[in-house]
Amino acid sequence: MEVFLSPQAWLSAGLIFGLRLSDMSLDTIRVLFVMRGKKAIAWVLGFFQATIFVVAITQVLQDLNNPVNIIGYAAGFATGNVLGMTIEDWLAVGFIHLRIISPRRGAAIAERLRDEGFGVTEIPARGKDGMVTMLNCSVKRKSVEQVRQMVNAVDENAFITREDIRPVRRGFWRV
Amino acid sequence: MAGVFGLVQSAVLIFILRVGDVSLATVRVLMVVRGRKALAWVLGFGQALVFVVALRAVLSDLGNWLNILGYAAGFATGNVVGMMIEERIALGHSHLRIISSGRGAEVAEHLRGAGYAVTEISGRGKDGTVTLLNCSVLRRRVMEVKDLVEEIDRQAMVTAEDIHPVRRGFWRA
Repeated sequence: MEVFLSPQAWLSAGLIFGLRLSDMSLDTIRVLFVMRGKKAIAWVLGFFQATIFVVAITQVLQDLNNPVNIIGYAAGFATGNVLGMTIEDWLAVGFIHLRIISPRRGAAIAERLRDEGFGVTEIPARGKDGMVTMLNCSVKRKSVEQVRQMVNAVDENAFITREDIRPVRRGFWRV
Repeated sequence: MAGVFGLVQSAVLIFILRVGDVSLATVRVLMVVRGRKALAWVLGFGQALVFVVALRAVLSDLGNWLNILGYAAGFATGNVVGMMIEERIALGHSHLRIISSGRGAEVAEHLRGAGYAVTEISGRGKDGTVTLLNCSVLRRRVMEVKDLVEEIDRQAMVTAEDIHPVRRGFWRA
């Protein structure tokens, strides 16, 4: 039981937690960049992640009889993962394709988005209760929330879905 | 003989631990991609805990090559098991794009009859006008919708992609 009381044990567990926290947040961001095909950033993140990982795992393996170390390792891993997701959300790198379906106010929404500088393609389509408009709009990921608010300001009931895309030919992207 | 039995036992234990931690890891990555933070934390904690225990068992006896084999086989198996678990849970939403040459309107009616929301667009294919149907559903409904489409038009082309709802509209549960 004395392991739990010695300040040294807690110090090493805290260190391991901190190391894993940083390497896992880097790792999570790296995986999300790999999915978007950003090779250079993925290399840099991978390099630092692997370096910190080796240091952390060596620390844990030095004293495996200290359960606080193992808990610190696992908690650091889990928290770093979530922290990485939060950072990645905040960076919001990449592009999103928005598909907006509006029963009546499609043209109004398209006008509103164009006024703000977004590129919109309108397609007439048919839904359960007659004609609807399907709007296609590809934007930077940072703009998604802004577009959503603009769409809902015009039509509260518009149906909006998003998907991650990669531009094949860079056309018009509102900055 | 008891010695040999002990060696096999530790290799099997390592195999099982690795299957556990890697399947958790696989499901965790899929949760990360879908932005589920709380689940990612819980899975990550369990995964790292099991991983350290397994690693410790391997490193305590690196001379036993069965241990190393068990470690590697556990990793590979865990990866596949994780994918199977994730397919079974099928969290998230899918967008289905259905192209039918003659029977688009009927397919749309059939899907609406089953409670799904469908948007029809007319398009042109090699042999004239076709209908492009757009239908956003919960991922675990994808196979059911595919079956509904095939009841009407066996030739229909159906593709699915992962999507995120920005504003939640109509999703048949």
